[in-house]
Amino acid sequence: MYLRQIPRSLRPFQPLGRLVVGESAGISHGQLAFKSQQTQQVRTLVYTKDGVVRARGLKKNEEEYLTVNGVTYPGNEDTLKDAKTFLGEEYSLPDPVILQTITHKSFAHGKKPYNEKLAILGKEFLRLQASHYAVSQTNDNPHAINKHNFDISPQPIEVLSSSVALHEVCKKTGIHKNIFWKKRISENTSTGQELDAKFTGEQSVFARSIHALIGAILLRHGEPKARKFISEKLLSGPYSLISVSEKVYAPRP
Amino acid sequence: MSVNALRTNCGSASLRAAISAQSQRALASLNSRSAGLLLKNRNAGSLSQKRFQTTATASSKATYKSPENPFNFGAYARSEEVEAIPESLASKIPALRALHARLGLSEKFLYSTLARALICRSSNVKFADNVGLANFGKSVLSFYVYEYFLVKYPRLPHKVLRHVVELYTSLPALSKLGTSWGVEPDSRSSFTRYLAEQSDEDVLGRLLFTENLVQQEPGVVQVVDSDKNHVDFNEAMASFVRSLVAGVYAHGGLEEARDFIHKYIILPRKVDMASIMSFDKPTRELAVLCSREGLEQPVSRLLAETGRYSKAPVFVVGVFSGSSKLGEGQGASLNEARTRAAVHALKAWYLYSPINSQLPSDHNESTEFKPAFIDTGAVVI
Repeated sequence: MYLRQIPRSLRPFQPLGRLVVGESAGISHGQLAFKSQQTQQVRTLVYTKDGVVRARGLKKNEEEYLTVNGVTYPGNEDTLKDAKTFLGEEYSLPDPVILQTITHKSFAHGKKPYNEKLAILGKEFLRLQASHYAVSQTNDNPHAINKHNFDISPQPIEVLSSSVALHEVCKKTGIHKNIFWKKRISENTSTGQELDAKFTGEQSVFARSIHALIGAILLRHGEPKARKFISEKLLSGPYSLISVSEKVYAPRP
Repeated sequence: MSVNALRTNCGSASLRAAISAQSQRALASLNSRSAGLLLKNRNAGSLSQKRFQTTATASSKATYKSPENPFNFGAYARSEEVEAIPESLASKIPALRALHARLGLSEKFLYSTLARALICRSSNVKFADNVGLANFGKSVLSFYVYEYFLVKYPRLPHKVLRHVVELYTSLPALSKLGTSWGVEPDSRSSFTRYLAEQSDEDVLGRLLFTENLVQQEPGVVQVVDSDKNHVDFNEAMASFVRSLVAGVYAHGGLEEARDFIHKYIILPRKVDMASIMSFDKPTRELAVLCSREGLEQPVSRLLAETGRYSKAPVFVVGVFSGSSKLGEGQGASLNEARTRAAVHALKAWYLYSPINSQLPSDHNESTEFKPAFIDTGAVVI
């Protein structure tokens, strides 16, 4: 039987940590199995600090980091429902792709397909379409070029594709309940106050899944359909970015 | 701006004589330039200095007349009174005609649009500038370059992808491009132009801006870092390229803008993707990749060696997952060769490029779109 020695750097110092070596059955994870040739025996080697169990070389229980709000990846039948309702029949995507769009890089240490690049493509596309929408509105600007009014303040256009606005849209669609992600911090450690969406990372994570949906539609169905999706679902209708942005927009002083 | 202010700062009789009511704009430019000069003698603290600063901030603000509802985009207009460039004038300027022909722009693309694209905000001419055009062109450019590389190299890590896009759309890159098109810069102040008896009409067809580098005396250059009244050369030239993209869009739509970007910005430059990637812990990253993709753990095996005890040994190491070889590397030590093999394997993974991939923007509704490859994301270690 061989028991791995704890490196010096991990040895606990008294007031904070406690070293437990033995066959403790009450600990659900941090188990490392050592197989001997004759018998199969499970020994646990646990290092606790501030109540958190950790030790180098031990594998975390997969079940634990794959569960968010009581739902384990890849989720149940309700997980993709909101996204599917939002997309509708016309812009439908395969289930694995939808799952990828609602999985953030922070989830499961990037082990599962995540939406980072889909989101960036979707954001660029949305910004382009928002600009296109803005400059091609009917206008009577004498400096318009071929009826395109380019003399527009850039901030409102920026807001249309910003995470502030898309965060609100994501909450409206209900997709936010199903996103697989890991909160950065949820409360101020010194005061115990709940932090707002900007600090917990919620704002960018929620917005990213909508961006990623746009990116996925673009890659799956091509540009004409993605353009139609934006003008139908995001620039008009119940999830209109314009009506959302009107509430969140504050001009720069 | 008052003539008085100018007198206190320049104090030259010949300059004073040149001032007339007509040269209001020239004055403005001179004043903003002398605002930079004033920084040197800040201790003097004259009243006129304060006047300069207030006017400088006032001019950089309120570019557009914003409507009550900021999302009523049709109601935006310029706040200052500027003239539009008449097409009859622009079409007679040789520099514009030459540039138009050289770029192979379509007949729909007006010469007046080309002339406007060359006028920067800092130039102080009486015509409308290119700021709005450049802002729009930036987002067009950014999307099509992203799209091209994301579809061509779907597995590229996000950081690398961003770097590649930056290589094509950064200010220096665009500026180099504009210079290669033979665009002639004119960074003289409007006051200098006025003294040279050149009207605003005479300088159309050149890239008009006021540079932030001011030659004080031979060998001494002052960098003016103030508001939008002075810009870098690269910034000015890049704003022209972006405005040109916006102009192509305005006259021909997004499809033509996309073709223009592909033809002039993406395809002429070749970036060696393999050389811009680097890895901190290649062997570890490869191990994580294999476990994520459900492959057998990578094993490095020595394939060949020579001169182990000489001063120039060479080892050839292959990295295998099960029976399939992922990569091969050679080096002067076993460790170097092993690392190179892992790097080779990782590059082979990340630089995957699908054959005959179709760009989403290269698709019209009449045909069936061939879905592009969607990558699961780079390895996190």
